[in-house]
Amino acid sequence: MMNMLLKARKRLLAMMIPMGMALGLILSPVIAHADSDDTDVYGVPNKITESSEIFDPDDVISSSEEKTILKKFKAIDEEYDVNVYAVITYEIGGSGRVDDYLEYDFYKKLPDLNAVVVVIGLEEDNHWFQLHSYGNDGETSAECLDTDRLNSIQDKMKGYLSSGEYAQALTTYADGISYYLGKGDASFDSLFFKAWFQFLLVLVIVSIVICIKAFSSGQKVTTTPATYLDQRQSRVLRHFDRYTHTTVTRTKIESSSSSGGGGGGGSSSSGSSF
Amino acid sequence: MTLQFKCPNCGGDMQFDATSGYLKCPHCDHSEKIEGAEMSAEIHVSPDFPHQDQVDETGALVRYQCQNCGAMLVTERNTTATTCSYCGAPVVLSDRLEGTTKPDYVIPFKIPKENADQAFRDWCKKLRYSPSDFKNMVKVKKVEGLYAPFWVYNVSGQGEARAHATISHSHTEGDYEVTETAHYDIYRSVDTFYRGVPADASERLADNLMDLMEPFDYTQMVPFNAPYLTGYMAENFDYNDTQVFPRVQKRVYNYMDDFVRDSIHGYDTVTITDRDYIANRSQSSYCLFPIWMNYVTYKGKDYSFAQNGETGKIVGKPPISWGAVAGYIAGWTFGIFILLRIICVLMGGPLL
Repeated sequence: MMNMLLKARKRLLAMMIPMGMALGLILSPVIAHADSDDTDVYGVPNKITESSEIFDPDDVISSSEEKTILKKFKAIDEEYDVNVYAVITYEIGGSGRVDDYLEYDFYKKLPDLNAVVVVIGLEEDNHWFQLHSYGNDGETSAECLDTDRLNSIQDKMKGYLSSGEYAQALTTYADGISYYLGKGDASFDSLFFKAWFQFLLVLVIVSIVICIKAFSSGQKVTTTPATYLDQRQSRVLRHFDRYTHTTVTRTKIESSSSSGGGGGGGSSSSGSSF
Repeated sequence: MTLQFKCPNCGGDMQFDATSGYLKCPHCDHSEKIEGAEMSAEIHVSPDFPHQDQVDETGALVRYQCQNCGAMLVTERNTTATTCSYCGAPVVLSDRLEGTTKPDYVIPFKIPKENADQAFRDWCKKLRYSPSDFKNMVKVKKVEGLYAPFWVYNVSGQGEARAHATISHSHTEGDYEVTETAHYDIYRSVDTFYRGVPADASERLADNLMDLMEPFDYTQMVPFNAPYLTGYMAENFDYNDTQVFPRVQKRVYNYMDDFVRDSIHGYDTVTITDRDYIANRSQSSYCLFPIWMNYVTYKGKDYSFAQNGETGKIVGKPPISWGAVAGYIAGWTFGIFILLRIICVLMGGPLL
């Protein structure tokens, strides 16, 4: 009896394996379609769950390199609470499209807006990469990674990207972010906050003031126009104040961050071809 | 003609005493009130002496004779009071204080020589940018009490002025800061009166130094009387009131600008664009104002400092120590720099 049961089971399994394989073959396009629905054209999931991630669907960098770089990303996240991402894709579609993508789409996928991303586009005739930081006012990424700083990181990455050293470029990207997050608020990069500039400015102003005081020492004026004015015999005889016209001047407000649209918060961007 | 005031007690030469405001005999301390009729001091006049006063060939220097010792007093043309260089007797050259050259008023010295000297030394000690050996061991070559000639004017100023004034408001429109500036054309016609504007009438005394002596307290001003000059140097004016007035006019025009500006209220900016003023003197008085002149030599260079003999205000151009200037620059620079960096750190920025 037992033998009969075992034989029946074997037959069933023998039948199910080819049936399963056939089913798999039939359903495989459906599964594949389901995958493409979860990611965008650049291979980035519609909802990013990880705090740091490298999206490299075409394995441009090796898995060991990816592991090392990701370790750096996670270290940044742990130290500064800034999520770091990298996207390497052949589906870039031009710089303008990436701009819009980063500005209006990518931030919606993020678990936290306190984030920075680099997109490296490897189209056949158009190699392009773009750094973008997000974050609302007061958040680390917005404060520390402004356009100027992203430009600086971008300049350092460019050489490696041109020579195809993508892993080294991403390492430089991580190091650059780590360096600037460590430096603190980017607004202190302004010339007026530079120690040498402040010292020079103070030195010049103080020198002028002290020299004027030194040369005018002993020559204090102690009269004013009111000293000799006879108030009782002085008056305004006639007067008018006539409005003539109004001028309007418009000055663009200089800002290191611009609106990211939707709920994207402030963002800074820096991009270049290589 | 010279005047010397003799003590009725001991016959000594009396001098004006700044502390009491009386004529005082330095020998017996006898004091005399300076009020013509009540004054019992014996007034000696030079025509009693055999030698006549002489004018030199150029007319620049005039010789008088001291009534005490008979020595020749050689004076400059404008000197009206001096002391005999031989016996130290105070002499007033009264013939130069007559007619048009007679001062209308005088502000007598209020600060005696000793106090003036101490005040000058104290002032020197407070000079921040001068060499320390100058500040602490100033060697005064000569201190001279001088009645300086001034013209004092009452000036009426009339005129019109136009000004351009603005009021600005700013607000934000999207990415733009919009500033709206309203422009106004302002007109004022004014009638002003300035009382007691002084200007020195001496060629020897620097105008800017004398201007800095101001203000003088006119409540202490008294009608001129020769005894106030005894014991001090005094000069007659080199320039008459008509010659000096243009300088005063210029000052009054600036004062009128200020009067116009004070009458324009409620604007962010006011710029006087056009003015048409006229300033006339309604009265001018010839006055003598008390000044202590301190002549100092430091490292071979001469410096002169003037002290208002009434208010005590001291002016002059002291020597500058570049070491002291550099020290102050370094101190203030480091102080402010450290403060800025602390503020920077408190704002979340880096220390350096």
